[in-house]
Amino acid sequence: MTAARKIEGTRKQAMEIGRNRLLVTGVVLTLAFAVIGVRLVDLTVFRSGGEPRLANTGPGPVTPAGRADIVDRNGVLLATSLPTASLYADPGAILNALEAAEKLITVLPELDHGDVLAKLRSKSRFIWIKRNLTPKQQYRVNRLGLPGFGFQRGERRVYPHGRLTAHALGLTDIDGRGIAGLERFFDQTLRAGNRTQVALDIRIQAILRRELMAAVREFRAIGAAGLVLDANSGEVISMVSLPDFDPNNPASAGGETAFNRATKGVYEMGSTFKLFTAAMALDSGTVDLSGGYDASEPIRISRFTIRDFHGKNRWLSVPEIIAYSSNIAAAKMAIDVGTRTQRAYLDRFGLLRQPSLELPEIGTPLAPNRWGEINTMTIAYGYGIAVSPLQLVSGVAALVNGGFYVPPTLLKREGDEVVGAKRVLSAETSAQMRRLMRMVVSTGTGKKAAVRGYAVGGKTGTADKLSARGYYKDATISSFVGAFPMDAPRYIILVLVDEPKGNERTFNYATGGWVAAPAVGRVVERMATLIGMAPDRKPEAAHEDKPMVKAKAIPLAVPVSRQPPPPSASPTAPSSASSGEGMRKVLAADESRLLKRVRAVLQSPPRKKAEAGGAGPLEQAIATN
Amino acid sequence: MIRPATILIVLLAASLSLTLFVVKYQVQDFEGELVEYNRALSDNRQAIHVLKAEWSYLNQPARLRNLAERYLGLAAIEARQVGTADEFFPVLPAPLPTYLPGQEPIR
Repeated sequence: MTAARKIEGTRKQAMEIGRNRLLVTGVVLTLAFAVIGVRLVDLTVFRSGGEPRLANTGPGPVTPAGRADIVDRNGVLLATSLPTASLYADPGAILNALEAAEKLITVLPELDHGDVLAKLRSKSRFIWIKRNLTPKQQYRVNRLGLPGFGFQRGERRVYPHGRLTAHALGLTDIDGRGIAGLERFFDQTLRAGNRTQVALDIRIQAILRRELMAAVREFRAIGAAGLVLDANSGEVISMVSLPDFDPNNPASAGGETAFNRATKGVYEMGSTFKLFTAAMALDSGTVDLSGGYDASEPIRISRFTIRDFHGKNRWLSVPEIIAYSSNIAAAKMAIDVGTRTQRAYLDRFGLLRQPSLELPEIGTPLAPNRWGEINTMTIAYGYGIAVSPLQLVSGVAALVNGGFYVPPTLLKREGDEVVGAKRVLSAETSAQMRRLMRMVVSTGTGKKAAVRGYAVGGKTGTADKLSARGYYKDATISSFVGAFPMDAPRYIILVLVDEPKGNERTFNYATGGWVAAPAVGRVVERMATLIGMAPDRKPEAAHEDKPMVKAKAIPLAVPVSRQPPPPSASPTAPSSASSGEGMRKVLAADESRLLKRVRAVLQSPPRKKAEAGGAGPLEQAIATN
Repeated sequence: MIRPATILIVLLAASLSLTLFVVKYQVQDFEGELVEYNRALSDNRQAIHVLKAEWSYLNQPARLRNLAERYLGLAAIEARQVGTADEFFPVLPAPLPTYLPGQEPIR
């Protein structure tokens, strides 16, 4: 009984355990399926039920990632890569060679019938008929429906504006690699498919090129260079070098035409350098606007003489020195500034170092290794130092824009962004330089750059060209560097003409004032109207600051009798009746101090070069100016 | 003996396979269309690219100048032709006060 009951109990227990296990398994499975079920409903009904709202189309059409475009500052296409098709034939598959050749001639008239026929009748299986068809030509050939012809796709660099931007953009070779200009500098970027926007404005580029062409034609010059620079951001708005080439026809880019005079060529600039001399003198406090120097007598250094081209033969105030472009006074001014200071300032104006521009063709300036006082004097008026037009404009920009040197750039800057500006002059000196440059155009050697309604300022420059043996007598570099509007300059414009020859209209003068200044004036007028700058119709005197009016009054009113006493006389001797007595005294003292130094230079033994007999470039420079 | 459930399931299976068949072919057609559209898109992009180059070529400033001078009798703007509104208004008769009631005259 007990045993049976025991057995009974054991069985019951076993069944109990079995039932419990079954229940646990069942519950676990049910839960698992319930979770899956809930998740299923969640995914299909709640999360992304129905059709996808936006069709998933997969990868779109593959656009051939060719060399990227170059566009100007307004987005005008300057360089692009176009797909081209080259026509080939499989003579074996051609049914009627004669008919095919005749039809082909009708759509591609430049082909020679006999030549095509010979090709189509040849035994080969592949033969080029014509490379680089235009899309229109390709369409017409296609429409003929000739069997046995096919197209090979390719890519070709196209420059829609041709010669206009030749030197800035450069070129690519047949394989699409940049070999000059921006194409070379940004080769990797362009090949990676990044569109490049440059600072150039194609319209201003056209204006500048037109005027340069006109100047080259009129004065039978061998070449010319022009630059328009944004005075504040350093952007190169326009860059032209003549003669130029057609980038669509690479064969035209060779030797002289491929040479970028605006950035690669370095030239002795002549009188435009007087701006830098005046700026450093004013900024270092050597002289102020009311000061001046005696330019009545040429400076003699051994056998050579520094002369004035527009000689006034009297004492000149600083504004007069710039306005009449006096070599003598500029040389004296530089001596007063001192060789070391001159060098430091020129370096700050970016004239002694290779400028940084996004082009491979950048010229290195030529400056004397041994920078003596004679060098100081000739550099004062732009001889004995050769810089590129690009350096000249960015240096002048620093003079007028409030005193900041901004590295020039060919890339468009966004908004008012300025990169890497360095203060090189005080704002006050910069304001004085603006007034001096304005005076050159209103009363001095640059009158022909004047534009009614726009305050143009600038400086002329005429430099004899250097040859192997010395300076040429008749070969000059005539230039004008201008800025406008002068109260707050926005653009610096340089026109430089290589070896102009004077004509009847200019009374045989081929100087910067006759050749380059009028060109700059015309560029300013066209540019100003293009950018919608309203002319100033009020008389300008109202805008001029007082000191300028005074300075302006002096040069025209001072009679010869009011000259400071000759240097031999006592420097403190009061000059005859004159209003600026005190000022004169100080000036006369300065003058005699300067003359002592000049005399010291003159009396020092001539340099080795001069002793050797051959007239070196430096001496020639002094002689011819 | 055929249970109603079996009939239902058979019908369901038949209609589902029919739907699948139709949808599959529809998708195939759409895919063909898509390829076509993509090709057209690519062609049009190419054409736009070429046309842009041509547009830039036809807009050469020197060419436009030449055409405008020859056919339209236009010339470059001179400085005297540019002015501001301030200069312009004194020339005009004084603005009528009734022109914009309750407002300052436009300047």
